[in-house]
Amino acid sequence: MMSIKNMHDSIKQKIMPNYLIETSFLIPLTEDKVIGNGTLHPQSRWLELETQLFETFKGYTLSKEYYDGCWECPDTYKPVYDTSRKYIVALKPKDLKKLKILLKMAAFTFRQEEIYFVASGKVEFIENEQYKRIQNDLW
Amino acid sequence: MSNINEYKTIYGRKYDIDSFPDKHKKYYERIKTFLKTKPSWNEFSNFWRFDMLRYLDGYTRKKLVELPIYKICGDLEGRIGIAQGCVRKPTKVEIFLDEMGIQEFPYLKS
Repeated sequence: MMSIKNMHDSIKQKIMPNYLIETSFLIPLTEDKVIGNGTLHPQSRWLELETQLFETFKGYTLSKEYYDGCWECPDTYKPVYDTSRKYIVALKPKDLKKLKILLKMAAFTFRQEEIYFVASGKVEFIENEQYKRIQNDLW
Repeated sequence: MSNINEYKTIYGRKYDIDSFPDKHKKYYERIKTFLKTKPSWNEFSNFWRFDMLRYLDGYTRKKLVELPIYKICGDLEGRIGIAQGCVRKPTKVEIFLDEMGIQEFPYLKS
C-alpha cells in the first residue's frame, strides 16, 4: 500500500512540471533619460544584479553581443534609442514570479521605465512600479 | 610602507592578497592570466563566476559571493567595463554608500 508521503510525492510529480522554461531580458547600458540622467551605470548595479541571478537562479547566460533597439517613449512620443545587455535564464515555472520581482527591482535600480522580458516566447514589459506610482500621484 | 600585494577596488576597498588562502591566491593568478587574453566585458562577466564556483570547490553560492576574491573579480569586471566604455566610475556618494555597506539593489529573499 502507498504511504501518504509517497502518494503526496507522486501527486506533486504529476502536478509540478519537470521542465525548465527559457526567459530572457534586456538591460540598457544607460539610465533612462526621463527617470535617470542617461549616463552609464556604475559597476555596483551590474554586480548586484548578476550576484542575485547567480545565487537565486543557479545560472544564467549573458550574450556576448549588445542589442541596439528603438522604442517610442510613452511620455514624449519621441523615439528612444538604446543599447542593451541580454541575459538568458532557464528556470522552473514556479520561479518565474521570483525573476519578475527581481526585474521590478532592476527597473528601479537601473532607472528604467520598463524592462523588456520574454518568457517562452511571450513578451512582457516589467514596469518600474515606483516610477509609475510617482507619475500617477503627479497627474 | 605600502603592501605590494594589496588590491584596491574602484570603490576604494582594500584587500590583502597575501592573507588569502592558497587556493584563492591561485585563483587570483588564474584570473590575471585570463585577463591577458583581453576578454570583452561580457565575456569576462560570463566567465569568472562559474569558473570560480568550480575552481574553489566546496563553497555554496551564498558563501562564495561573500568572499574577498569574489569582490575582487567583480571589481575587475567593472574595470574592464570602464575601459571599454560600458560602465562609469562611481560617484562620491556611491563610494560612500559602498563604504557603509548599503546596497542600491534591493536584496531578493530566497
